[in-house]
Amino acid sequence: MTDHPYKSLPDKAFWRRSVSAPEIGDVDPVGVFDLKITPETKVATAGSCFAQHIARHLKSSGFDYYVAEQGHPLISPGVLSAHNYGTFSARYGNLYTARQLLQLMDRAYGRFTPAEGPWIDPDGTVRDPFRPAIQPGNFVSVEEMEADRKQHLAAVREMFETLDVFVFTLGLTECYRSKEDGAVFPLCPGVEGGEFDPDKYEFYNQGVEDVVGDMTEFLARLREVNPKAQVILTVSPVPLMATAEPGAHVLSATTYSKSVLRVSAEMLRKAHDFVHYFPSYEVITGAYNRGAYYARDLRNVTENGVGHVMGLFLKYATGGTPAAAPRKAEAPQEDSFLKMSQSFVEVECEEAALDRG
Amino acid sequence: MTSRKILVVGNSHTQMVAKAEALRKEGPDYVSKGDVTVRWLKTQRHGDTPIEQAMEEIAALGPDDLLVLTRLGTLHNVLGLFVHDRPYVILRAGQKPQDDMEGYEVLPVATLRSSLAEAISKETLLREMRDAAPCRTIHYSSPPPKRELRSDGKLRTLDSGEQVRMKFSDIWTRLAFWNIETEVANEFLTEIGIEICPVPPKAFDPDGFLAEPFCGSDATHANQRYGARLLDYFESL
Repeated sequence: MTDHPYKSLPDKAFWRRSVSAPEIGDVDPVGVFDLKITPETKVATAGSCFAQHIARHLKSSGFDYYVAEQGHPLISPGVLSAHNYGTFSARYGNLYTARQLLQLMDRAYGRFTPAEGPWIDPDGTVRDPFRPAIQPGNFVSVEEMEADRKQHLAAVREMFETLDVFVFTLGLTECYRSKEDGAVFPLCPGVEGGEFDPDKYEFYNQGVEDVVGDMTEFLARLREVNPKAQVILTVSPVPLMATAEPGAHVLSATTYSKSVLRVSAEMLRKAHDFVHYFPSYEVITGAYNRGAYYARDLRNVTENGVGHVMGLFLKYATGGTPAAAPRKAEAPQEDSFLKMSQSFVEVECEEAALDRG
Repeated sequence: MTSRKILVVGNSHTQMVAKAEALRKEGPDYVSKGDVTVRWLKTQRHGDTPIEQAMEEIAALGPDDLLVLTRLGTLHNVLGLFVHDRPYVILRAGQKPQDDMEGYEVLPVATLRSSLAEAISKETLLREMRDAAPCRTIHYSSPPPKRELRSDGKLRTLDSGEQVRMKFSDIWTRLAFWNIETEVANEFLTEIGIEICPVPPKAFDPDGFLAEPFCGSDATHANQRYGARLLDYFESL
């Protein structure tokens, strides 16, 4: 028998040994992840819905979950949380696309001032088009919205300049943008505020070159203001709520979107030694769990799934042992699955507004 | 025929009514329009009436009597009377930002409203008193803020013994706080079915502050003249 390269590979390189044979909770799809985080490391988060889970677990795991925009201490903690202070490291809401992230940075540093004006609701209250669901009850005036946005962008600058690690969850490739200046919105205008006007807005579905290009620019600007910053990329396992890609089925559109994001993450990781990839996408979507990490809507992620991801994250990032990852297989058809489904964490997801009818 | 009873129960803002009634009784033209009793609920440091006693008196009212409560409307003083270590600004609708907001944190009105609503929703005694009362029940909130305060702050003694001067917030912050709290309190009162007693006519100045003739001697209370206007209103019901 001849020798060959596969003979010397570790178990994780083989499907049977590392995916199909182990118990669900033992599957560990982490490839290369050598970033270490200590309790003193300032970890900031941004991204799509799934990033909220990461933020929540970081908060409860003894990490220095960095919140640059905390809200005023006169406000009760419960209200601050309900009003999206601390949901992420600054009050930007969900950043679904790489372009949103890049434009956020450019807006924060005055390199980009979108032409889009404030969105006024029928009751006269005001929304920020770039975070339309950030303020429950909306802003009472354009002046208040603009003052809050100015404060928000200052917090974003502070966050970028002083964080140690930035965890960004790539969520979507589909977006709506202004025809005038290319400003992208987290939600299609008209879904959660604003009014859809086909003469003003257009659908755009990013490809790999867009995502890699946007993220490469973002990474360069981040390192400009914070040369020691490390970046962890993840891909959200949450499928699209709806697709606007002409003629597309939402399942195929999801596959396209997540594939683009996963390829982009890998290209970025290989191109930059300060960029790391953490496979939360694989933990949740991998066939090894037979769908057990999705709730009944096949979209939201169960608490057990999040626990598995974060257990692995803590294991690798801290060198410690994994937290509460499930040890027993839970088949989707079992009652335990139904119970788990019911206990899934209902992340406040602006995107859900798309399906409100 | 027994006269109608008006029972006023609540916090320190009961005292302007008590004083107004006492002064009225001393006057030569006094004509009783009702039997007014004022009860300042006892707290650790102030007040004269334990809650249990007040509840008994409320339950003893007749169907034609009037229960007047004053419990809500004090948060704007607790939270907003003094300058906070982290300066903030409240931009109400129609209010332009000040020229230099550097160092000030925007406190979104909707967020402040929610926080005040959360605090007010924990108020259970009003519901208990409403349920115990066999008669019409109304509520008046604390008076609007004063435009001018007679000093620029208050001396407070820290645990260390050190004395510090707490500066009063600017007039527009105090007014915004009061307005927002009053809106939230009125929504709560409507929700729990207690009538709202409005601020007496002409007790506001054109900007919405407590008019000078109605100001009490301290930073937060109105005087007996304001109390007399409230009495007039109670008796008109």
